[in-house]
Amino acid sequence: MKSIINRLFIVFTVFLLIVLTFFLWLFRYSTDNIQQNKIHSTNLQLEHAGYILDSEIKEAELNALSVLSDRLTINFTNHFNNDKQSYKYLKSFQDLRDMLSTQVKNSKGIESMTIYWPKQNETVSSYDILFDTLDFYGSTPNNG
Amino acid sequence: MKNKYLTILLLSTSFLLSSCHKNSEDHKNFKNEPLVITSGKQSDENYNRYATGEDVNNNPMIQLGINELGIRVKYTMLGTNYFDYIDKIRLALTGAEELPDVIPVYDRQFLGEIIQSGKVKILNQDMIQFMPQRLKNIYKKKQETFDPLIINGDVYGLPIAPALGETQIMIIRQDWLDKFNLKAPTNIDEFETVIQAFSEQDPDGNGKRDTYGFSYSGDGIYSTGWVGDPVMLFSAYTGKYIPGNWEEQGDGKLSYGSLHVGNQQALTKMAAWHQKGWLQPNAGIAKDWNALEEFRYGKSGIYVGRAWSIENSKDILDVDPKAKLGVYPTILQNDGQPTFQRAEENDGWFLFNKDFENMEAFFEYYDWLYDLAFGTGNFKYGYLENSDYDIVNGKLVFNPMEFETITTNKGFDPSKASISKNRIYIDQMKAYYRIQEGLKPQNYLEYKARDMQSWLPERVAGGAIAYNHQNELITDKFRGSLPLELVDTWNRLYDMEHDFYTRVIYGEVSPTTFPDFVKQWYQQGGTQITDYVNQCYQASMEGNDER
Repeated sequence: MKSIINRLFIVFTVFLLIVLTFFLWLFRYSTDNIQQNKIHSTNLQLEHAGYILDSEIKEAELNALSVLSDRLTINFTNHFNNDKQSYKYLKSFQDLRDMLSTQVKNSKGIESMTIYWPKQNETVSSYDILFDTLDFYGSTPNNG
Repeated sequence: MKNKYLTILLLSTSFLLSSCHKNSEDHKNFKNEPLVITSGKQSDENYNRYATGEDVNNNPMIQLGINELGIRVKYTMLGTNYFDYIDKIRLALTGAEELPDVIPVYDRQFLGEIIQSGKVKILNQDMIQFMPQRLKNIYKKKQETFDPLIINGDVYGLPIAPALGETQIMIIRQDWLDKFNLKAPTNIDEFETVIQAFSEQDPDGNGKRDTYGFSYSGDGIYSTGWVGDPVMLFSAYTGKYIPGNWEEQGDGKLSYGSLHVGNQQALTKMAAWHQKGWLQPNAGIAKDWNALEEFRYGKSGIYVGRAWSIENSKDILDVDPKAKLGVYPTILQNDGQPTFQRAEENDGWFLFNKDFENMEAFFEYYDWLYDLAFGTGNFKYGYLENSDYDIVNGKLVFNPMEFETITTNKGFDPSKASISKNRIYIDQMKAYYRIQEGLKPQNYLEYKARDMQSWLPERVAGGAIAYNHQNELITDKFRGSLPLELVDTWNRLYDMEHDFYTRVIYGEVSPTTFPDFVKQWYQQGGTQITDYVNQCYQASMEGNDER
């Protein structure tokens, strides 16, 4: 009777070990599987984000090209040597700024557009408050 | 058999327990889930000021609302500027996007447009049922601010923070005045002398003629009402008939200030000054802030604005450490009467999506913001420690440069993250006046003003001047909005006015053509608009408002 119980115990233990091993394998397998799936889907998401970014960059580049070759931009640059207090200069600035604002309004991914002429230190922007820039807020306080 | 019953009993109990547990979890989650109020926001004024990982919908002020009230404000419609913002609202009105629960609006014309869309909630019942007594008391004192919101007895929104905005003052480079032994101008002739000296006598001493007397915004109607305002130059000749405002003309009718004959004299003066280079050269395209910027960069000697602007214009010290700021009331008319400026009675209007059902929560949040004005609740010294104020070595400080942990001189501003956009006050000017008079502080602003006396005394003095000159603020007597069929006409007239004024100042058109401009203005639809405005005015005077 005792040996039967011992045998049954051994069979049960072996069976239990097999079941546990199976569960362990199943756990590892499903974890790996989930991990792989997540990596795969994250990669896809990153790829998609990259694609969106690329298309936004291309849109910005196209916009920039069209702005730079626009009649209003050329008209404005023609005023660089003229009197900056004149109404004509003012009007060409205003027209260019309005054009930039319209471009921004029609674009999904562009928040603002600014043209900067370094030699003349001239800036025209669709953004109202150039004042509110990092340069303005970036100064360091006395306490470091 | 006994065991079988026992098992059934155990299973039943466990199901019961598990189902009880599940219900309790759901309820708990529901209770702990903050109530979300979505809102529009014209722009994110904290841009560049957030800590890492924070943004417009995830920052300390939003978190404070969640912690203290269980209300999460979520900005679902964010513009880059006001015009962009109203474009987005217009799009949402067509059904292309979802309107947020709360829609703050800041111009009366668009306010009329959005109310007429029929997508805005009527608040009559909610105000009676849910508005806290404190808010009721505030609105009771400023009932006239509801005028543009009431149509046929229905209330379509709430004026935001009804209180008189600060009177604008003249901010002058005191060191330039002292250099030339000049006094602050008190009338147009003295003003002319000062701006001439500031433009022609090289006040910055760099040997170049690169400064000018006065900077202002001429990008819209020549009356900004808050900063970069040239309106005192017009009012010096027109008195209460200032550009952009409708004013009573003495026979019970309203006339449009921009058409007053005195403007011709003002434009003549400005054209002469512009030709001589005494005014900001690009003022005709300068936005309100640009006028301040010119002052801050040491190019301009005078600008007119609310006294808080000194908190920004003091940065002139980075350009010229010897610069001194002087604060003065705006100039007088030649007969000694004051010049006037546009009053702001509230900071825009809150409108609500007609499907919004949580007005009670909104009122709770709005009333909570008012703790700042009353010095009650947790907002005695400001909304957030280390943003509005800090306690350093046991001392209450308001100067961001003295804060323990802040890393730039413009840190996160909690008020800009709140639904009201700006801090809420009951009487902002009085706070500075009280502190200037040496009285004991009672709320955030007064504590701050007391502290400011040591590091920005010009701000406190300026606020006190504003308080003493608040009778110079005049409200637009036309409080309604135009019907849609007149809006296009009005926009055309607005452009025509701006164009004419700017052309005259820039010497393109002679000031003597002013009467022709007035005639044209009436011919191109101004007569219809004047008639409509007067109809509304008469109706409101008779208490028979049918707008």
